[in-house]
Amino acid sequence: MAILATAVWEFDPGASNNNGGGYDAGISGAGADYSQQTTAQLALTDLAMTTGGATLTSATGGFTSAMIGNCIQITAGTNFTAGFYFITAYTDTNTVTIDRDATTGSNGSAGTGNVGGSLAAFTDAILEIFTAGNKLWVRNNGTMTITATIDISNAGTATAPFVVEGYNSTRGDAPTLANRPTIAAGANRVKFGAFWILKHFIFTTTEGIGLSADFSNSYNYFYNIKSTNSSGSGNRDAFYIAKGHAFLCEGISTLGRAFFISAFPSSVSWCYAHDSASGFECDATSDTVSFTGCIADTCTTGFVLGRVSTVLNSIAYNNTTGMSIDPGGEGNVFITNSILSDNTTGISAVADQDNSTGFHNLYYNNTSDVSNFTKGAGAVSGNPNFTDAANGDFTCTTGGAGIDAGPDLTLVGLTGSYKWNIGVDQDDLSAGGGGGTVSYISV
Amino acid sequence: MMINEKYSFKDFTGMSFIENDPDEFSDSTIKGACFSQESNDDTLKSIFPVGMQNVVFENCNLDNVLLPKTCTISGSTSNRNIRIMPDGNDWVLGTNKYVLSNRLVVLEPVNKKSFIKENRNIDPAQFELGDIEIEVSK
Repeated sequence: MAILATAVWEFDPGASNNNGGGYDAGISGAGADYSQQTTAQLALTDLAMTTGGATLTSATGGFTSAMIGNCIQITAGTNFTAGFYFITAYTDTNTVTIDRDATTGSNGSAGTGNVGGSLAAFTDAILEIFTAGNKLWVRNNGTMTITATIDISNAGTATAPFVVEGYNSTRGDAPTLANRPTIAAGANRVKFGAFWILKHFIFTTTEGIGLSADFSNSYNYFYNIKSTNSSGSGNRDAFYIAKGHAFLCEGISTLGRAFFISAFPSSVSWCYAHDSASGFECDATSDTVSFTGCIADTCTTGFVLGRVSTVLNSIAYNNTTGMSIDPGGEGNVFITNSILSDNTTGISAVADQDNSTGFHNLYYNNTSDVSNFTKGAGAVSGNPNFTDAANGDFTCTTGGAGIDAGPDLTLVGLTGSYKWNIGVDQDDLSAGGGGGTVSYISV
Repeated sequence: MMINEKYSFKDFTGMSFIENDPDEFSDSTIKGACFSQESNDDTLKSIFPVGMQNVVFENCNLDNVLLPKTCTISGSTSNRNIRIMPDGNDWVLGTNKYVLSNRLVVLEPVNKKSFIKENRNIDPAQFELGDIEIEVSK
């Protein structure tokens, strides 16, 4: 037996990385969960164990039956293998059974260990020992500071991913904005393995690739995370996504890329990139990258699109170049139902990009709407009537040119009035529409 | 020593406190805070106020931060001299323990584990020594 997939771990910056940190309700007879407290429930310095067995003893004692299911971290001792062990049975105050032999091959003595208590901060060593399917909770009790590289090989699986979830005061409260736990990485890489899912964090870094996961086989996703790369060095990323997905995330990379997508298939949905050199950027050779409901605001280039990229219901606002297309001459870029507003150039493509196409996009107040790019069918000109774009409100008020100006779904045989809007805001302003010239193509 | 609640478990990446009252810091323990700085040269940055003394930094990130003489570090605190090298990556500078010299040299990438996993060159000799051998001033 080892750490089971059902184990749950707790991190709290105010706790200690010498604590047990884990609880597994799947262990028969599991008692109280002592992992959700900053201090250990029991700290011992005289642990002993006969090699080859799983019986752990302490002359001092203090074990209780309620400790079954809790993790004891053995940090040192004679002939002990430091590590995390789960208590599976209770004999008496001086004796418990743990999930496996904790010795190095000789009888262990003078062992130090803590039962219960949260772990304090991610380290590479700690994150490598978990088992696929484990859940990691991070409590918002101040910033978690990273002091060394984290580059995890430990991989989840499609059916048993690792899930790392921040919370504010109660597990599962799905915090937003400043109530999310902060992880500060400095110059240290923080790269998760394949099949890691991260939710509800604020992340800061100056490192080259920002918040990232396994490059070649990741299948990870980031959800409700704000990542800021404040490096003074160019081309550094806030998010680095490889075969992964980002939902409802905010990225800022002062001189680099807020969202960099290096491998496909990947998707970025309902994300906000701003005040960056590049908002959303695909590797030039990446296929099958989609951006849906994304907003690039005040970047040098809002979207840098690679070979087969699709942009749907997105906004490029106040960028030097709203969207840049260089698919390497091999692919197609589709920009659909999106707003290009207040950019120096709305969409700029390298020459001869006949296969890159726009449908139902709205152009407004760009110095130049397009360069080497055909606007395509359904193009609209007119003020989208953003509520307050300068302060991040890209909803559209009544009369906005993008309202009801999206594709007409009755052309595919559907019936009814869908009133699809151009842009991110899909509020059904029935009095809207009519701004600009709208024409539809036959599909 | 008293835990410094104001500065513990906070993210101060890139920030300077040089103008702050040293009494906000002195004679306290700061836990789990990130004061990491970036540097494109060899120098550690002075970010704490003159007169600050007797501060223990526990489990903090003090990379590229000049630590006042009366202050100490403990736990997992990092206080490395890091420079962005011509390859665009962060490298740790330090003195070569095998050479009697107080000159800084490039030691290894900050994220050495990542370099090894990605089969990237971790040999500091790839950088021109003349560019980086600078007298230690601290």
